[in-house]
Amino acid sequence: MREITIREALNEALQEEMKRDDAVILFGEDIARMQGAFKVTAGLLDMFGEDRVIDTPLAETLVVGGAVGMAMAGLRPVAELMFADFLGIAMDQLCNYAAKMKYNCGVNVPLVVRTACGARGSGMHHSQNTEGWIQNVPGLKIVMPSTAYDAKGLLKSAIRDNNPVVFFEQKTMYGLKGEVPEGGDLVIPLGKADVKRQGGDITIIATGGTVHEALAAAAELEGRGISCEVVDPRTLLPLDHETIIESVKKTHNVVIVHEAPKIGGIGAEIAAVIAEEAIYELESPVRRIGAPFTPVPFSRPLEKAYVPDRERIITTVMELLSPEGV
Amino acid sequence: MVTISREDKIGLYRQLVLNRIFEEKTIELYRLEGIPELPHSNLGEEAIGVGSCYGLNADDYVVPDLRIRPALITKGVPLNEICADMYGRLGGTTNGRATSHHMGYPSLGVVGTSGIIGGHLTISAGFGMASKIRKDKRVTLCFFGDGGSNRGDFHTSINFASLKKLPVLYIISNNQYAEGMPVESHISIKDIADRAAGYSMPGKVIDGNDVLEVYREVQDSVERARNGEGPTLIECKTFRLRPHCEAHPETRSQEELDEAWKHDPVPRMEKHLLHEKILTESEMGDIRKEYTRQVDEAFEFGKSAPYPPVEELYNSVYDGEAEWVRS
Ligand SMILES: Cc1ncc(C[n+]2csc(CCOP(=O)(O)OP(=O)(O)O)c2C)c(N)n1
Ligand SMILES: [Mg+2]
Repeated sequence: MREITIREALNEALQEEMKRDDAVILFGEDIARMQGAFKVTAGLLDMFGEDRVIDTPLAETLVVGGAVGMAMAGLRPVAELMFADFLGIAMDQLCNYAAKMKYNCGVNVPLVVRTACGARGSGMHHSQNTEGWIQNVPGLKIVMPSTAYDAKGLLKSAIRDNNPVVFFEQKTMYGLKGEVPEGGDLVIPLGKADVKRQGGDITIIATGGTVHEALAAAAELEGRGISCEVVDPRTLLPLDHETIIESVKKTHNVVIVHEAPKIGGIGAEIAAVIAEEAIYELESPVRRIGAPFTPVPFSRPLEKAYVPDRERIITTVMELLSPEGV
Repeated sequence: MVTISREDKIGLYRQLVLNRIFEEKTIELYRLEGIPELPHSNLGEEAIGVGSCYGLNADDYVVPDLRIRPALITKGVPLNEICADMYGRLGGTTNGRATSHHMGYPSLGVVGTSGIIGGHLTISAGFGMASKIRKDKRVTLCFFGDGGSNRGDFHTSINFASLKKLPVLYIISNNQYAEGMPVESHISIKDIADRAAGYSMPGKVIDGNDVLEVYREVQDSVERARNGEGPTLIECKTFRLRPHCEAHPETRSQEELDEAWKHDPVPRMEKHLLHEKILTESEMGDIRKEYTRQVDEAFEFGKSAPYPPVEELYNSVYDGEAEWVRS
């Protein structure tokens, strides 16, 4: 099958949805003429014109607030927040307007906020995984794809969803290639996890960039005789309990991985779901791997120590499954 | 009006040269061998930071944005520490935890800020309020760009500062661009300083490439602020001579850049000094040599300082012991 990058997959999703529905418009800083900080909107200004691919001034309350207004008025805006760290600026528009208008007055807010997350040498204000900031805001959906296929199918679904969706794109992964079929209408329902690798001894539940670390760890562990199943929730809100619990019932051991700080991260929610729904299935304690409770550091060796990697996953799995053999 | 002594003209010139050489070196090293911190060059905009900070008291506050390193250097932040921070090494201000871009240097009144543009506008009003409450006569200089002025915090901050007559100067480097956006594509007014009228505070448009004008106008507003007469909005017209950051390609036309280079603040000041017979060509050459050596040494220091141990990651998250941040 054809292979394209996550960047290209996102671009195709935007293009196809904009062709399918005139109500879909793009809104954000430097997205039109400059084609986005990460070039996801490349070529779209030429294709759709400046009424549908709109550059905004530097003002995130406008990027999100303006998009909320357009969505309430019947358009289907896809807003781009250049960095996930900027969510804090637009928190009111996102959490108190977008998330609550259905409850408040029955009006749908069919909005997608795309934003780039993750550490890559840019220091504390341009590196954060901020899904934890918004994961207990009722009314929002949260998506975090890890492959080109998922990125395309999930973004198309997010645009068609009548609810506000925050769509996290791991910035180190924009260039990552993966199989995506040419043509057709690739749509992946929100709220469905995907088993990225089948295995029998332990379930590694990983999100975003850490999915690839989990897969690399699983390949390495296979050589040591440990069979890992890798589950990518893909959508964090709503969370697919069924796929997670099914896997736990199969392997009876669980490690959860994400790049955001471990304390209060989505891993805590996943672990609680497992405790509530399948605690007697467990043969070992649920272990979480996340960033330490520090800002994202700048210096290379510090950042390397900060971001959860395959080594930490391997060590943790070994501690659980063969405590003598670590 | 403030008059400027010969010594101060030399002092201003020296800072201009130092900052120019620092920028040139940064650009060159980034191109040749890379620097971990992505440079966002202030080349051509040095006169704003230099002229604004040159006459400040040691304890006056400077609240920087990402392109105003000359303000920090003029305030006295040591070059070695800036370089160590650029390389993420020990010997800087945070031992690799943070970049130099929006570093703080509390002992020199340099307020640490954020790469998330514009939040520091209201923080600056807070510093002004603290000075007013304490009657400490300190002034606060808040630096931001044309792009930053579009955040709602701009309105919020200057309204409050004017209302309370806070000793704050809002200094805009209008370098004609916010990343890829030319200023006429994102601001509805020609002179941002005109907005001051709506807040009953003075607004001035000045030539940001004339270090003497910047110095005079800022000093004038500093005096006003110290006397309890309130804030001023100062818009410095300038031009961003480099791409938004060194990793970006140049998207502007050569003609536009050639025209902008004609207003380069450094030769302008040199012409003035020669004309006034304050410095000779050879004295200027000596100053350049002196600073070239200093800047080379600082980069050497930054590059060769050791990386921090991983332990450093867990430092300074909280005041006091916090073992639990490791979990
Ligand atoms: C809140 C926020 N929005 C967007 C950005 C991305 N960004 C970094 S610099 C910049 C342009 C800033 O323009 P201006 O304020 O004029 O400063 P200049 O870069 O021209 O010095 C943008 C959009 C950011 N860092 N923070
Ligand atoms: Mg600018």
